[in-house]
Amino acid sequence: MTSANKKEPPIAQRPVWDILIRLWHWLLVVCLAGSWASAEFDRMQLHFWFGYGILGLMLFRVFWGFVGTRHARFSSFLPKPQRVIAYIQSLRSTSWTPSVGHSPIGALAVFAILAVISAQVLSGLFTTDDIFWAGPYNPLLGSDASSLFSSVHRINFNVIKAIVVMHIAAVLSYWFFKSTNLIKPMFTGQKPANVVPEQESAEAPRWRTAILAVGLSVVMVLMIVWFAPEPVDDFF
Amino acid sequence: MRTLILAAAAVATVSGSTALSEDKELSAREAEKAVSVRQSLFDLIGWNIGGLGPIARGRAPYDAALVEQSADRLAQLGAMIPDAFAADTSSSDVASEARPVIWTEFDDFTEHATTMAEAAEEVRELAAAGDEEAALTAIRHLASTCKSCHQSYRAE
Repeated sequence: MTSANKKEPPIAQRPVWDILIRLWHWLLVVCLAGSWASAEFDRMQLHFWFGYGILGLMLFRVFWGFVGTRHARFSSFLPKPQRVIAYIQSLRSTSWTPSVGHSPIGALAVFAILAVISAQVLSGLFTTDDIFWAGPYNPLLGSDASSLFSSVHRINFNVIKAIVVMHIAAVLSYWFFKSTNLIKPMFTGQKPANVVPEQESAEAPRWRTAILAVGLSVVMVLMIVWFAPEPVDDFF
Repeated sequence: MRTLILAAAAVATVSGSTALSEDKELSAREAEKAVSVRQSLFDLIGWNIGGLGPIARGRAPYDAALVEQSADRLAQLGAMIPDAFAADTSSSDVASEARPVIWTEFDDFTEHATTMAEAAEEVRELAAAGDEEAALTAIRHLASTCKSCHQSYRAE
């Protein structure tokens, strides 16, 4: 292990993930697991609630990607191809060092996860099981579009499962092969000071911005649900 | 006449149904007709289950007469499913959400349809007996029989 800055003991920690990004991460885990389980066990009303929750989380993450703290902002981890390639090469060499925020591959994963999960909630709004349940915007669609969105919602879930497996495998690989624990920082928000130069520490979130981003996400979800078209009566 | 009766009997039984479909290639027109009959059947099933949805979700008041009538029709429609799928259209070009596995697992497919018809019959009996709570539970069970069959036999 590298010896840390002379003034600080190696166990010193510096902030990387702000409290909102950590809450967001674990709420997403809960909502994803919940929406899977509720669909699996046929508790569809619950499935809708989890879906609205994930919709709000996606909106918040986009806002926070612009106005959040240093390592949460998209501009700080844009996965530029040359950076990704260089990082992959460094993984096998001795020059590899742990990333402060998202690694270039991790950055790719973040954008992929956001895209795939957003596609899932958006298609869910238009999906129907053709039995009892229909997403709030399904009535806008004709039967062809309705079955298209429903298929996307079913098939895309397999992509989500694959991405979740890859995410967990990657985190465990860092643990086993790189002796880097990425799970603990997702709880504590902090990484060892030898990984995080002082000037790259995350600043504390600005509370007014945070409240605005959370509030806007909640209001947008409520509006999306509120302004949904009247359900179509299949029975006459 | 005798052959006609025998043919009808063959359609009515599972083994007969598959035997019938193995007998000859379906013409394009026959396949089209078979798919159209199946889809009409499921339109009727959808129409009749449509009234139960809002009741099961608590969005519409419980209406024993409506539940009994819908369930009665669904039990009859469900019993038609295996017969409606007697013709194997898996190798035809007609667009359909029916998975080919229907005809390789026809016994299991039939069992799913029977389970659905029985679930509908149970709803009918409970509604007729005036047992609202049990009827609501039975409606949810009925919907789950739809879903489990779709999962195996309907294209994604």
